[in-house]
Amino acid sequence: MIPMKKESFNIVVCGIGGQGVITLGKIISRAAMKSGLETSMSEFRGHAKRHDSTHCHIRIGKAHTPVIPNGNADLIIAMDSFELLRQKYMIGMNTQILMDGNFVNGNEIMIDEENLPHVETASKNIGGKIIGIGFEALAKQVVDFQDKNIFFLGAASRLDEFPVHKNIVREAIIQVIAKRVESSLNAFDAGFNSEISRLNYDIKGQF
Amino acid sequence: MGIFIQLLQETGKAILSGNEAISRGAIEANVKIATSYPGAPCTEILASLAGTAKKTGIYAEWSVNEVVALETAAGASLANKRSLCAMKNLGANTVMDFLNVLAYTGVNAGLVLVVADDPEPISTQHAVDSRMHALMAKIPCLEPTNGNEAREMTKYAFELSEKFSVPVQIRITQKIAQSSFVVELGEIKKNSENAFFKKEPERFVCIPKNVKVLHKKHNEKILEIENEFENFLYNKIELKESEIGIIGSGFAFNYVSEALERLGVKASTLKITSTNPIPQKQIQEILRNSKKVLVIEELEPILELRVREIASRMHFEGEVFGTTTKHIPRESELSVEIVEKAIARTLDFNYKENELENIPNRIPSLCAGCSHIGFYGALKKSMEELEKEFVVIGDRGCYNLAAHPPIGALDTCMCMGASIPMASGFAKAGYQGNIVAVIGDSTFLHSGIQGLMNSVVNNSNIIVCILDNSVTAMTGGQPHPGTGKNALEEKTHKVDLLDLVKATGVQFLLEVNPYDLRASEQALKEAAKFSGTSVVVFKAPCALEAKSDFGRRFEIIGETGKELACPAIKGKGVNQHIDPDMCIGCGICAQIASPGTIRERK
Repeated sequence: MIPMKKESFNIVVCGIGGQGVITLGKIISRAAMKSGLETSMSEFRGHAKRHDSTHCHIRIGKAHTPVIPNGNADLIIAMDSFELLRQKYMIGMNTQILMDGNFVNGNEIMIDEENLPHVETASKNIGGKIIGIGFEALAKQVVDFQDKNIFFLGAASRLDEFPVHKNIVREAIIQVIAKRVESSLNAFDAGFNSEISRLNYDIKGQF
Repeated sequence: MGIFIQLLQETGKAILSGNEAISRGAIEANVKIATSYPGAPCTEILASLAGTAKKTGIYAEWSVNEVVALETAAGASLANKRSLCAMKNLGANTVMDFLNVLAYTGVNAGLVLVVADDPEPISTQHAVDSRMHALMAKIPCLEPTNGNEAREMTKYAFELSEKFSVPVQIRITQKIAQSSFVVELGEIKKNSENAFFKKEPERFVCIPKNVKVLHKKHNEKILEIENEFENFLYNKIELKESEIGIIGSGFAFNYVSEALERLGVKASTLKITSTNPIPQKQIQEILRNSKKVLVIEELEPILELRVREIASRMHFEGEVFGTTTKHIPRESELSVEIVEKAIARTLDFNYKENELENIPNRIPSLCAGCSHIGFYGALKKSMEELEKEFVVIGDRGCYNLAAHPPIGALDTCMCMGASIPMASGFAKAGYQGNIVAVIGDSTFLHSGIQGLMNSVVNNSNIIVCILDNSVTAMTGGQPHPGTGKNALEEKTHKVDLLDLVKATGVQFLLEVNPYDLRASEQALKEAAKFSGTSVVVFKAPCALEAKSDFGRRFEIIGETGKELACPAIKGKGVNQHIDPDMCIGCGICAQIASPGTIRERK
């Protein structure tokens, strides 16, 4: 049993169907269990494979329900910046946010791009502490696009507050991802080694 | 087996979804037969049992529909094998006729019916509360609140089913079905008894003279079962010195624990996991201990009304709150915040609610290169060219994603199998336009064929479009009788859809490739000219399941003048372009766009 810094740690992963949001949740909860911690995860799938919004909650430590109450996220991993807006109500004073600066505008029909707020204005409104990761700029060269989720997990594992040790997360990746283990681990390491503190505002594109 | 490997771990802990925990419970209980028809949120139950069947020896099948699934499970139970049948609430509606009579006859080996509700709803056309199905059939209904309970209560349900010779319902909701929990695993029993059946016609032949007796016996049985639940292990009462008592049903009770902790409020609580029969004495205890009793449950006020009845019988002088007093909503899922607000209102203190901003919803699209995009392209074009009013009566499946822009083609989308009979009703009412019914192959086999027979025999002038991709695509590609393989991935006989349609006596039948838009338009126009029921089968594999790739790529070289439905096409107007990573080269867009604006890449 590895002692946690807090009684509980709540993670929201959000994005759209096909980005590996649920897979990421499965890896994190598996890693937490392997560390001897209590954990649960709830999924919000919808028409997930068909570019609908998808997110999951992972609770590590003490919790009565797998659903995180509003304002109680400790960490949000946003694979899509627009989906982060949808999770705004999960953000509290101490929420850290790892986000991709890009968003997928599926079919270009659901969001009117001209009316979208810019990242900087949005981050001021949103609260929390945004630690941006421009995946495109940072990792596209070395990490396969399909492993973008694992790249983010690597970056999250680097955070001081993250309750599970890097090596256990790596073991969980090997267990959950049957195929593409090598490229996943490569993405994880790239994420872990991406110096996120220096990338605070390296966010590409619009919010 | 792959993704379900944890399900067979001998002992220790595993992370399982509520669905998988039920499957694990069934495996531990030595279930032999499992049946289901796919449907979110509980598709994973049969998928996980089928995925591990080679190791467990369980017979698992994707049945043609829910009624067939339950009847198959019942047959197995009568032949002395434990059976499990899983379905979403929609399916439960359709099985009620059989379930009512099965409740009378009772079962032999344990039979557990798992019904998954979708209170929000996230992926369902209505939010029926399946606890009412259990009340209607007068069978026990269990509601686990987490993964461990899901596993343990499934095991217990088999024992209960055998002890009282009654089918037992387990009711879950999306939040427990698709949430994951750390589950403590129990021992997997492995014993195999031979199937046998003792003839008892007075019990199993439900003709009126027998039913009269069976009905009385069943009602007596329910009273016996009531006693069983007075001290049910998974109902939990905690009495506190407090004016408020809270009674919660199933998963919703979790919100109560969390809310009380967050608010710092002390309350007596009763967690009820046996919705039917309810623990009456424990409810009385809560009432005796409290001045205000709040009942927390998702959807219908089933528990609340029972609590009110008990309160009135014992001349309770306090107040009961819940759904009927609008302390909690009667629709959608509950949340910690909703329960906190309800507690605050009951205790008359202020609760600050955060206002939620309305973020535009994403519109789920058909997949890149989906043949349905071709079908709808052809449908719209041919109907417009016929210059006649038209109506499109949809059905349940991926093809109802065409309700969204830019296709926006559906006029109705109701329940499984409704398309053809409703179209027939339009015809009989004398609707003057072209009447098009759109139904997929899995739905057609599930409950569409009866509507077609009816339409052909009564000569309804409608155009039936069957979109045949040879798989149940919407729920993740499960096989059906027209696929050629079963749930266990074994090669099987394949029901020939064309032969089946021909056998109805339909006088106009064509099969076309929906990727060929000209041919599809032509077929639809001919079908429209035909007087009577015409059927056009649009046959092409599901692009997602078959991982289709036509081995070419397209590019936009001029203004297409169209909003194209394919998600591989990004941007609007002059910015419109094709994402080569998503494009599968089907060429549908080139056939829909203005001529010469989309071409194959060199």
